Amino acid sequence: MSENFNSLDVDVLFVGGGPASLAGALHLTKLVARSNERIAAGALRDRKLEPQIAIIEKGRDVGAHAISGALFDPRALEELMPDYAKQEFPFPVTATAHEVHYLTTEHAYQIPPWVIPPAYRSTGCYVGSLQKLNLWLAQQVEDAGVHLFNETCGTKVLYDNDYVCGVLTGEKGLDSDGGRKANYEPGTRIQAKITVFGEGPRGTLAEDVIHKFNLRKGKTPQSYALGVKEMIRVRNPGSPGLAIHTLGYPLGSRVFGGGFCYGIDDHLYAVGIVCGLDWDDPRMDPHAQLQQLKKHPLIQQFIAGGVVVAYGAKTLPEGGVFAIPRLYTDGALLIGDSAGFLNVPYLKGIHYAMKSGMVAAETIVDALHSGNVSASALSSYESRLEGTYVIRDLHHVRNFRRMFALGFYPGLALGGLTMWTGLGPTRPGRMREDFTYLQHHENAIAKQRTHEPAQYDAGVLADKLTDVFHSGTEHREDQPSHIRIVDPSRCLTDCIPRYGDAPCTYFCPAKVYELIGQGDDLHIRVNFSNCVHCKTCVIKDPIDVSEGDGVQNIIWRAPAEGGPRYQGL
Amino acid sequence: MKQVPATESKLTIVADGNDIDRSNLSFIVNPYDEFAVEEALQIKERLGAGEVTVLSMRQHESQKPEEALRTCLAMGADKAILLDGPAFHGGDSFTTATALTSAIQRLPFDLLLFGKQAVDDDGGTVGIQVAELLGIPHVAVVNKLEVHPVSRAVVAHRQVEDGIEVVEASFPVVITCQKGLNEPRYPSLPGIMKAKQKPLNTWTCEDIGIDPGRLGASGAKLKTLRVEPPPTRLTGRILDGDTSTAVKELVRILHEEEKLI
Repeated sequence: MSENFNSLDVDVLFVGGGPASLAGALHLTKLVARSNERIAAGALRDRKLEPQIAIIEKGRDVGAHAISGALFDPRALEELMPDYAKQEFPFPVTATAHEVHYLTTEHAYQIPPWVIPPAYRSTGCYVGSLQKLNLWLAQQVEDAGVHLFNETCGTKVLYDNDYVCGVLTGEKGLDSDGGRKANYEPGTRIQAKITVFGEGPRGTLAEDVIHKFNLRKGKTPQSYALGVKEMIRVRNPGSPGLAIHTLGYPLGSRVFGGGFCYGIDDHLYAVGIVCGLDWDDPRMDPHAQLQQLKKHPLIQQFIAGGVVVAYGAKTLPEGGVFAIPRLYTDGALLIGDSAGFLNVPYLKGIHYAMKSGMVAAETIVDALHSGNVSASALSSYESRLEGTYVIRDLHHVRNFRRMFALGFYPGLALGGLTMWTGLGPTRPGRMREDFTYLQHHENAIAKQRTHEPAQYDAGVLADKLTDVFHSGTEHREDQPSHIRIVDPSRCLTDCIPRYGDAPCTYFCPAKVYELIGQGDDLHIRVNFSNCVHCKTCVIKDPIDVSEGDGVQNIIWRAPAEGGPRYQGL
Repeated sequence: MKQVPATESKLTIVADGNDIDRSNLSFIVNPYDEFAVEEALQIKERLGAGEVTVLSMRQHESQKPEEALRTCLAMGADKAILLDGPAFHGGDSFTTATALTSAIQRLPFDLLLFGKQAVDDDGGTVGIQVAELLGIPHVAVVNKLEVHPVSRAVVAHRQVEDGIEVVEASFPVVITCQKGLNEPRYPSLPGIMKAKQKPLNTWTCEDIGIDPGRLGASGAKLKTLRVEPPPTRLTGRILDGDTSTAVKELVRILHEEEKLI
């Protein structure tokens, strides 16, 4: 490792350019301006603030790694920018009809709208692309004077006497063995008074902070789902504003989750499936499940004859209010999906992520005034958030997801009841980490179901590698792999005998893992250049190489270069 | 320097069929132009003297060449100039070369570096046309360059079939840059911060004293009749079994299904 780093000092550093950081940084500039105005008018006795605010984003531009359904509830945006609709807001379409269907192999049964509590209906929400929302927010943020660094990946948290004091960014221009190429560029030590982690679900650095300061103490482990999504262009007129959610086929009752189909514009649909990662089937393949969903008559009536034009995959945090870690430590805050503010029955998280960033900004302004960035000074972020709809809404649905531990159909009934009533225990139950659902089955082979071999065509049904192409993902073939299998022999001694197969070759939605060779040469090949940065592998990898210390056989580190280039996802 | 659609972009064609749809594209610095910028920076660093100016032109309203110019400034260029205004929109390589020539004539220079071609339209003639319009020599598709400030000359290496052609030319000269010339640097974070303070000037056609009639569609020598996507590639098939089974199956498919052999 080089000691020869660049360095950069800022006051506030947001790690990850998603909706939480973008809204947080923008709100922070507004709060600073407001506070400075009051000081200038003599209404407030304090010194003026002129904080340097930076956001680092690993994607080639803001939004390149951003993917969501997306149904967008504008509540937080209305607070952030009351005049947003006049600012070339990139979501022209609102959901005109929200339908929930229960699917069998051939049929669809619409669930009567009155079953769904009004607060969970999506009618009136915007239908569109998180990538475009982020890109648009990024423009507002830069105009407000925030430094936005694209293609800049945090690789290490900087600590000073157990205070978080910034991050180190990744070295660029390394070859596959880690040697320096002619255009080697060292990393930068970005030192900050306050570092805000908004890296998305299972953030590499956020998890480092959570682990170091034991921020999950007394909380349940975070549980995740994987969402895979395609954009499908059709010749026939589309149905902008259509918002369909599905239950049942193809996931059935063994996997928690469902499908969606949104009408984005006159000729474009977003079709996807979200699968809870606590499945116990070693051959469960979410990408193949999406293709099954697309063959269903309910979905076919919209997309038949269309072509896939974009693809992406991302995990989402579904653990709910009991899985939210402590949100502050000395010098640092956690926001957005890195903390886990997704509302599972409402199927939305963007506005909670944005609101969390904005509430963090309120605490940051106070800390900048007082000069105190200790955990106790920053703890007001958590108490403030508890007073907002973010925690209130999540508390209301705290028992929804766990009802599904009783089975899918009882879960649906009881979960639905909790949506209406908010009733149920107010303490966390026992929850397990997602990977243990594969790991702890003594007789996992018996759990295997037979899957029909997926059928693909050159049109609307896409095989995995074609979809990887549609994600636009790219990593230099000669860059160091950001994915490492700690002990490749364990794949052969653990997975193959137990499952008769390698689950990673199924759960990965980008065909990063391939089981190749025969006999003594049988091994897993890691095609890291296919990776779409969804994090499923580190969440679902069933092999624990540390015997209980939570170190799994697959290690995923954010690469300093590359990743998907999502367009309109 | 031209800003082009990112190389992974999936292109669609607009309704009237004579251009690509640029509305949802993300853009990058043309990779061959990155070689040119890097070479200029390395020459300046080697000589310990000189100034690097990057010149670009907005050809379409959807382009954001300011971003690409900021990237070049963050790499280390000293200043940037953007030719901007409706007169510059549309047109062909000839109108681009005409506009750039008028701008370049207002700047002091010894060496003009271009990428050998832009990866969007693959024309590959702008640099050469500028040399012609300025009446100065050019060396195209260069993958190694020596600069001799005392004798005011360059020695340029070009990859040709079966060998390397070495060309000497005196200042002022146009060089078009080929892959292999260098490894373009990454903009550093301090470089990006510094770039915010560097000058990025916008010049209109009045600023460079050129009649708008000589630019854009009215000045173009080429007219695009139609843009067509390449034929869709059908999904591939992987044949199972050991080599001898797979080969037999392959022969059978080629003979019976595809009727190729």
